[in-house]
Amino acid sequence: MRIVLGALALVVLLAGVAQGQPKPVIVVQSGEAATLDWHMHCDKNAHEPDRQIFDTLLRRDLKTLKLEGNLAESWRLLNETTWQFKLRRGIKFHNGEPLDAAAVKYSIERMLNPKQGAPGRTSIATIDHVDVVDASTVNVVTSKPFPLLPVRMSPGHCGTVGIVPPKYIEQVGDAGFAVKPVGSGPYKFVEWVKDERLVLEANRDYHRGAPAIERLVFRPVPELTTRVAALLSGQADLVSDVPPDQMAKIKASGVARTEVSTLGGFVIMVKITNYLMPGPWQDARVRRAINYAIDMDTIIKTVLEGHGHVLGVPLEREAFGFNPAMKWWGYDPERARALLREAGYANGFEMTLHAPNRRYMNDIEVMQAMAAMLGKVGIKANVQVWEQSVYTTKWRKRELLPAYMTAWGGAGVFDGDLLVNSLHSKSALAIHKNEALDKILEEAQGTNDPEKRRALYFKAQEIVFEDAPIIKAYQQAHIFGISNRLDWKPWIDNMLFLYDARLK
Amino acid sequence: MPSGRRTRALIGSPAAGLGLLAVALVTLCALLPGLLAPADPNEQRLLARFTPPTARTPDGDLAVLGTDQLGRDILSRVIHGARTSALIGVSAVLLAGSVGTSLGLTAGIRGGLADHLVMRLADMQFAFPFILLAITVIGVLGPSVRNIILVVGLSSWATYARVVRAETLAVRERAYVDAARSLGMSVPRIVWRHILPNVSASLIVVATFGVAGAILTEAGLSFLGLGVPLSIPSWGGMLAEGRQFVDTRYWLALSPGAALFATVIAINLIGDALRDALDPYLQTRGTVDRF
Repeated sequence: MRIVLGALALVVLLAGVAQGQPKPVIVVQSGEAATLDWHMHCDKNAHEPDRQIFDTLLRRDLKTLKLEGNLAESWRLLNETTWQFKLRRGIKFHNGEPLDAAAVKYSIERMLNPKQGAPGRTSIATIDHVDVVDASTVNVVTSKPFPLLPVRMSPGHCGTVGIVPPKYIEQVGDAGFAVKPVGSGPYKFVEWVKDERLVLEANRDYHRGAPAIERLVFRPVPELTTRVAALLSGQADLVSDVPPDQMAKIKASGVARTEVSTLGGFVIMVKITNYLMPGPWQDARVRRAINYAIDMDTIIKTVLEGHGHVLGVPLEREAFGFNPAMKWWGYDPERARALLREAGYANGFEMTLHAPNRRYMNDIEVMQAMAAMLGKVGIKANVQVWEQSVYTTKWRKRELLPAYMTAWGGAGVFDGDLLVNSLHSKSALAIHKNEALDKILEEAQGTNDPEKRRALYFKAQEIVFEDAPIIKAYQQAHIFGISNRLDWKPWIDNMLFLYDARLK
Repeated sequence: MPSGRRTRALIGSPAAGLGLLAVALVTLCALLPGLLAPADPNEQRLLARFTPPTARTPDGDLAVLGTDQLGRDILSRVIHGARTSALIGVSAVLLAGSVGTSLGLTAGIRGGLADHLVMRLADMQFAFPFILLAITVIGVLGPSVRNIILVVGLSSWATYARVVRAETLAVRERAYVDAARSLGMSVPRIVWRHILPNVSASLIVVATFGVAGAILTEAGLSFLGLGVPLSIPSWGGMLAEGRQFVDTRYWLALSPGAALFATVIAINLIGDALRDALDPYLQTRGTVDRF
């Protein structure tokens, strides 16, 4: 019934939108943006349209993952705490306002201003201020060395700086900007009908040339099966987060195909505490034993149908500072039992694993499979699934003890700095404390020299191996359903970017 | 009506007979799941996941009703799930029934303020959205079999209280109750000897439907993720897990759904037959309102 209604609504919508124009490319999302102000959200559903509307100083090459110029044509480190960006000349916002050094200064300082309340502020909080040198040159001055600054000036989910038009925001205010954004990206905002559609059109003056697609429509469709149904009935062109078991159906449909992206996906891990709750898990040997007891390769092969890979540390293989030579905890139940005996838990113990309810691909099943494997070495693990809002609340209060599933990454950062977000004891997600690890991560954050940073991240990975603050990190692949009329490849951080897309 | 005729009325109805058979089967599963189930309901065989019904797993075992997304045997899970459903259905009704009956009796016999209090409480109970109550209680106490019994039981006592009060009001004016009172019989004794036996017929009928309702509620809560823990197989939980595969692997949701459907229908058939057999008004009036 919902599918029929959804399809009907889409037909009506299309009749309205597409009169006299080529059929727009329709993206169906799991929900709707609360705001389209780039600086004011950390939400995938808001970021996806914003990625089309706004632009950043730098961008990443899809193949090499190297940063390259975008709004800025070059950038360099002037001294330990000053980064200089040279802007491309002649770029304008969609309303004609010039995108100059003043706009860049305004954008960075707007996001940095605590009064603004930007949720990604902490990611750039090391920036002290921005100096305008001339109309096309800015110096970004940081309070201490900030090696990640160029990354924060490139496309990323949360905590990256999108360039916004100062005069327009002054004119319409924050509230006006949130519902009617103006950027300098490849697509311009046309209209936003809440709960129904968000329409964008090609920016003919885009600095890298006009995009091939004339119109984009984003539609919120909460139910996943309805999104897939819309794709199969030709009422949608692009669907993210397709579950593996739906792939065969999409492939067989003849109207759409699937594309699996393994790059830059979520890094998923089960965190385990060593200090917030008394119990056997306070012993590192026990935490290592848990890791040896789980056959993650089999879980990925079966429960995720092969769409993922095991990581040791919660860091993407492509990230700067990842040590490819490290041998992580493999599947070795004998060793797990031996470690448990050594720690004095030969008869096992009972523990709870807290799981989110369908936040990551087949998350509940992954946790249940882990629990069954722990059972085989004598650890009675009970999987506790929480409704999403309860899970988030309990997670913020650090009540999901002794272990819970979470994810970090997939934000296009590709840097060892991600370890800070997932492992530093002061990070929002942390339930584990290791002072040596904290110190190394902080040191790496304040070091510009790449070789030194790499060495520090290598050291951090060795500590993680010994201390086991997590249970089996893995990266999940992202599966997209794409209409056959659309030529498009997934973007590196699995956020949709449709500049390169074209209709066949 | 003499009890012999009651029994005959119950057995004589083919629908009720079918219902009794089905309920007997579910009861058997609930009592002896270990003997009937071919496998451990929680044993995962990841390499045998999504084996269709009547097919064989890679190890060569026959999966009569197929296996689920973790390679667990669905037949075994349905059999063990009967225990969860029966336990919750019966316990919740016992809880609701005892709370509701006590309050209903008090209201009916005492009258006055007690009556007002109980009945307004019952009105509040009926007006309060159940799901909200369930989410709050389970959210605070955490999901477990005990808490589900508590939620389901405490949210359905009002029906029992109303029925018992109405019957009590009618019975307490009868001559034999007056007689007992004038002979100096104590109130608890009058309740026990004269009132309770007379309201029990209605109670049994309400309770029968109550079991079916409680089983459905448990399934609904498990479906929403507020139900029994994952380590305990339950039909609602299985339905919830099977939901996302419903268009590609239908058998995950089919068997628990069918078991739930059949059990609830069976209990309702018995309930209908019981009401026909026990309700004296039905003989004359021909129809009776549903509570």
